[in-house]
Amino acid sequence: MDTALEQATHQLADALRASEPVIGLREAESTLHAQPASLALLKQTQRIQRRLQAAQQRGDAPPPGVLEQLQQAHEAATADATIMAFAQAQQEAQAQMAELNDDLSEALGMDFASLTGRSGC
Amino acid sequence: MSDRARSGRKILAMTPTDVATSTIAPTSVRDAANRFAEALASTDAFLRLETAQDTLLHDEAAQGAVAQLQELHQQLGWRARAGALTEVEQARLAELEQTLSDQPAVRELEAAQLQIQEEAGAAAAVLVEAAGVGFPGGGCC
Repeated sequence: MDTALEQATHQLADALRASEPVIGLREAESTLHAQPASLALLKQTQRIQRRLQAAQQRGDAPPPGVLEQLQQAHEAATADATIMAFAQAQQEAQAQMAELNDDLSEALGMDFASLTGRSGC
Repeated sequence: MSDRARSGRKILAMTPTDVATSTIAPTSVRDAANRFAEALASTDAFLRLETAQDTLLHDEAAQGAVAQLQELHQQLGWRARAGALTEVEQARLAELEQTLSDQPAVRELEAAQLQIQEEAGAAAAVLVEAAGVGFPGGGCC
C-alpha cells in the first residue's frame, strides 16, 4: 500500500476503534459472549435465516417448518435484552460506516465501497 | 489530489451543531476520514483510474463498441437475459463483447480498476477490522 495511504488508514482505523459506536459494539459483543443462552439463541436464529436464504437463492420453496421456526426464534430473540442490545449496537456501528462511506465517496467523487471491489462480494 | 477529487471534495468540517453535541471520537473520525480521502485521492492508482475513465469517455472506437453492444442488447431484449438466444445471436453477442473488451481504453480501465481495488481494498479491510462491521453493500470484508 502507498505509504501515505497506509498511515492515513491506520489513523482512521484508530479513530474508528475509539468512536462511541465501535466501543458500544465491542461492549455488546462482550456481554453477549458472557451470556451462553443468548448467544445460542442468536446463532440458532442466524442458522435458520441462512437455511431460508439458501433456499431462496436456489429458487426453492422454504423447507417445511422453517418459516415457523424462524418466527419462533425471532420472537425469542426480540424478547432477549442482550441480543437486542447487541443488534442495536451493530446498527449504530453500521450507520457510522455508512456515513463514513458517504463522506469518503463525496470527497473522492466516486463510491468508495465500489472502489474497494468488496461491495456485494 | 486530482481535479475531480478536489472539486467533488466535501470538507468534512464540523458544523456548530456537531461541536455542541458530539464527543471527541466522532470529530476524530471525521478528521481522519478527511486525511484518508486526501491520501487515497493522491495515490497513483486513483489518478490512473480517473485518467482511464476520462480516456474511455472520449475514445471514439470504444464508445462505438459500447453503442453497438447496447443496440444488440436492446434488439435481443429479454431473450438475452434469459439465455434464450439462437447460435447466430450468441455468436454475434460474443463477437461484440470481445470487440469491446479488446479496446485499449477498456483494457486500461480494467487494469486501473484492479489496481485501485488492491489499494483501496487493503485499506478497507483494515477499517472494517477496526470497526467490527463492513461498509454498506460489502458482504465479505
